[in-house]
Amino acid sequence: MKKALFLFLVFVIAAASARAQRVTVCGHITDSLSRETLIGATARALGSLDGTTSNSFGFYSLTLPAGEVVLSYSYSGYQPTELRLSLKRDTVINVSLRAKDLMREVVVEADRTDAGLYATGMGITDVSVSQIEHTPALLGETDVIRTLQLLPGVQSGMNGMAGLYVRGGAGDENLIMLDGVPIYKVDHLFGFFSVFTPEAMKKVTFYKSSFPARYNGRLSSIVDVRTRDGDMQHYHGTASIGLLSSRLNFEGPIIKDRTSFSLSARTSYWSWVARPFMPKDSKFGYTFYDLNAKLNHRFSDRDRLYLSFYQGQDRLKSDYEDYWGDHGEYTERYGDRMHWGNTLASLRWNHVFTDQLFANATVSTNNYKMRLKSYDNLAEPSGAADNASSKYNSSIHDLTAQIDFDYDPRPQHRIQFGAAYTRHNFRPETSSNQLIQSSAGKVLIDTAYIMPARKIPADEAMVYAEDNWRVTRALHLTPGLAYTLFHVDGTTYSALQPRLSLRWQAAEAWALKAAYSEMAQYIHLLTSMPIAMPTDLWVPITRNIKPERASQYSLGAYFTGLKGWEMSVEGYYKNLRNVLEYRDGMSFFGFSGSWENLVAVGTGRAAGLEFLLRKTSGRTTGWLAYTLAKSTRKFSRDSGVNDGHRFPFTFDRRHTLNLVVNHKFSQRLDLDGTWMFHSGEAATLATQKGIVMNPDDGTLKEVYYVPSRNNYRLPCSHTLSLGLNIRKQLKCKAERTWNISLYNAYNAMNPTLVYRKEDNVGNYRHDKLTKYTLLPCIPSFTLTYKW
Amino acid sequence: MKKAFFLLATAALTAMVACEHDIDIRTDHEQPQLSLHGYLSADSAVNHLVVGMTGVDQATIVHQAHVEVYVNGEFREKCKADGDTRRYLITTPFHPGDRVRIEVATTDGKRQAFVEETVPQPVGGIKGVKAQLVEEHKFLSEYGYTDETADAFELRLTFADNRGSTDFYRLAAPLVGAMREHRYVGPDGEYMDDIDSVTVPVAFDCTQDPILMEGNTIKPSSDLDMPTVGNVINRYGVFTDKLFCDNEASLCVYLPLTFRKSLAGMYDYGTIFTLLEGTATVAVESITESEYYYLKALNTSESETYEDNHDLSGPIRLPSNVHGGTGFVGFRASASVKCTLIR
Repeated sequence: MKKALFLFLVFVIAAASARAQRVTVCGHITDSLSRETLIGATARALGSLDGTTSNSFGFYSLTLPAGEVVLSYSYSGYQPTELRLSLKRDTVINVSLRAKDLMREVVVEADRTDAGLYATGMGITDVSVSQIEHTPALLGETDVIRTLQLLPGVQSGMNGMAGLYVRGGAGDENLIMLDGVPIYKVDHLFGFFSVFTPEAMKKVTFYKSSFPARYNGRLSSIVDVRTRDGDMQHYHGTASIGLLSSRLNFEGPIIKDRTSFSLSARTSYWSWVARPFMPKDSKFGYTFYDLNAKLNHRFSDRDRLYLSFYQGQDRLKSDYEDYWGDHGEYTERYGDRMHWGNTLASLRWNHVFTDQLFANATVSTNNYKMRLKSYDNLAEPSGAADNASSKYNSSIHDLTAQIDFDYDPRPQHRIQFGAAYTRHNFRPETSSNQLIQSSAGKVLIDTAYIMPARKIPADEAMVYAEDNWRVTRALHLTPGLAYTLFHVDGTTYSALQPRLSLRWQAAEAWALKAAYSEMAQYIHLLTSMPIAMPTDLWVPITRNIKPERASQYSLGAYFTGLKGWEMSVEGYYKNLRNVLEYRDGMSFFGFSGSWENLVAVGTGRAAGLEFLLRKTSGRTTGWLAYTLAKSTRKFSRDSGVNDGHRFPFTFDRRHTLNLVVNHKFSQRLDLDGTWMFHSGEAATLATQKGIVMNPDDGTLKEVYYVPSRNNYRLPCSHTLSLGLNIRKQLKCKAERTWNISLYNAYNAMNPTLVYRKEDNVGNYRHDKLTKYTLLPCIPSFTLTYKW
Repeated sequence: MKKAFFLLATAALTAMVACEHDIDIRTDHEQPQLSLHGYLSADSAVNHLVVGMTGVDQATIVHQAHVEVYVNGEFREKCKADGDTRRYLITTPFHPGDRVRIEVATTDGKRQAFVEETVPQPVGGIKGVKAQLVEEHKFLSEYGYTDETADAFELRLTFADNRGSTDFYRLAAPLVGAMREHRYVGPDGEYMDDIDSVTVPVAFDCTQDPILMEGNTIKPSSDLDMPTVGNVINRYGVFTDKLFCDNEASLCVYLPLTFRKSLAGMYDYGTIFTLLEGTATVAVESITESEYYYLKALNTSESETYEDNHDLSGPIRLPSNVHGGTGFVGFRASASVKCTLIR
């Protein structure tokens, strides 16, 4: 394994060193007005194949033969720019591109070479902020995860949730990152909304195959969310008021062309509004908020510093009062305080060592906490009092140091390599209880019970290298290799994860792609619910539970022969090893101490075909995506999962069809629509009656019997959602937008949950189920001001 | 805590306006399964096996099946059902380490099932058994009512773990003499009360024992709701040696002096028992891994936590060690000791 890694690096370095009579052009590509760096912008030498794209920090490097050249810079939604140069030596050229007058047109990221059809990799999609903003939203909360759900190969989990189940994978198999820092709790309100504020985002890249070597740690997908750096030239912002939450974004220069900031905040206010109207003896409140802040300082063309901060929390509060006795002289006050969320901070330094070598060093911290306090105070007229309280805490704290290099020795090669180290500290749960009994102010009993924190430290390290290699005009190849180590509980696991992507331009309008990815996952989310609970716990693998592994093979064909249209078909097969499932009858209810006993290790496989037809230009844009998929799991007979029989994976849906349409009537008016259809997901139902015997006295009891896991298919679901945007340019140079959304416009009664229907005496009826539908037709509006 | 979750969930869900409708389900294609049930002990001269069939309407007992017993690959016995109890009597003695296979087939031969397990090794012995009366022991039931205080016997015992790989155990409900107050229907249809004494297995409170609660002990507080997250009470006393591997284990449980026990199914609201002074039989049973998980699943399926959550988490599928059918047949070897309860 070490030998293979060594040989690969030798190969990469040898390939990189073969250069002669060439000069390098490098620099940053930015927006002409805000100086915001543009990720994935294209720099190309006209008349040749030589070209590249800007990286996550807007930096590009292009090595060309010396002499006359015309460089073309382009980016979706921006006017291309051409520069005629006489190249004699290495040159720094910073380029600013002007946004097209598309203000409200949905920008379809189709012409990039590091994502989409033209990329070597497959299953990679850039989702622009304009697309997210033009996806009709539940309660007006535009949401990146809900936009991703519309892509082929992605399932939402339970109907209506902002879950992410990619190509037959589980919900915890997605690496979701905010400015390169993994985020553990990605949702608010039990998974209805994600934590990402659209105004704070600059770019979202979604990977479901062809995983770049720098991404590791999850099996099924990567969601890389990059936030705005802040305008270097002007102050501007947005403010939105919606039914559920309000958002504010403000950005601008601190020192023009040197330092900028971006600040975004979102908070819900439902409970602030409702609390005064609640009865005095029964108060309940729930709020969430997100805060994004970023500072960006440009020391020179070669050095930049970014400081990013994110904090998001959900807060729950309940207070009750009960009175009893003849005159209500006994008083009991009880309630809960619960808050949970993430705090992320990262410091990044970009340095251009040479015109071909760009480096990004990152140190980051990631803190997830869940805190719960309950109290129950009883006061008697005699002066006696019982005061009880309990606490339950859970946390994860990560410290990460990472260095990434982009090396562009020749136009045919772009080499990315780097290393990372993360120190994890998991504290899955700590609980304590206290009871104080007093009389007339004198404490009679004061007892406290504490279950101390079970701290689980873990170390994770990674080295990787990858070469984006343009072998010939038609053939592009991206070999990559990552080597990861995970040390926990005195045991060290390692994984060599090769990646390979290939793109062959078979004809001018036709391309074929193939990809192979090997992934490893070292942490798991313990949950027994289909919705996101605050008590869900991330835990690392153990001495006995090996890392989960996935090998994915993909093949695709792409057609761009019709102007303004793209078509693709991708097939995949995913082989999963060491996947975890709860044993039959086991569930996780917030205590991780013996979680190893609850799960079994088995295998899984997922396969599917994904069709995408996309319209990329004109007044009407959008796509039609169809997915045919199957995902199953199999465990040994002894593992205690479904008697060793293969079974459909949770949220396995055979057919999914998504239609997204964005139509621009005028500069003032546009209409967005989505229609989602999917065949029924697999669910587990008790369909018979059986017997259990009491182990103490041998008595028999009749119980409901579940013949096998996921033995029932829910009815199919379909949801039409519409969003209308009405804009007006105000005299004060601000723009006002009314968004009127209709979620589930024709009120389809989609099944969220089903139960066996009971008759009058509590027995299940043979012929009927009760279907429980959340999210019927819900109208909403959002008012946004931009200035 | 639990209340907080459900208030939040309820608020979230009702804010979204939930609707309920009926939809059709077809159960006519459901195939009945042959089910086997029993807990067979190496210490018993006679063991009982129940053969049943699952069904859409109801589960049924099968008393005319072919039941054959094999030990270490050799045929030992063909069993018949007892006419009254409709349970198959197995008289073949089992010994620790025996590989036991029980084959069952319906008389028409359409359904066959078998179970095959190795009888575990019993622990070397139980020592240091102590029972003492504790007045006003504060029970924390899984329902969270800590104002339920009652006199109870505190029972402590120590035993040594079997050496070697992971072992699975069960602290059986101690057998104790008790006075029973029960009501029956007299000759003229009137309700009559009677009192007699019987020996009954007594369900214990193990919520404060770290081994039996696998580290997730529950300490009393007066919080009317669950004071910690995720309490599934270990009703059936199963545990592994993970916390005391190859060492001695000490367990502590509480037997309530007075308790209610249902004897006749779901419409029996229970009979009141009061413990008597005398001898209690305490047994630590060595069980198979599959029985450990089966009884853990039973613990969960009968827990308040599951009752509160199963609408979302879905129904529990009970594990089975029956090939070709369902149900569960446990194999045990136990060590027991007697101790005296003095009020």
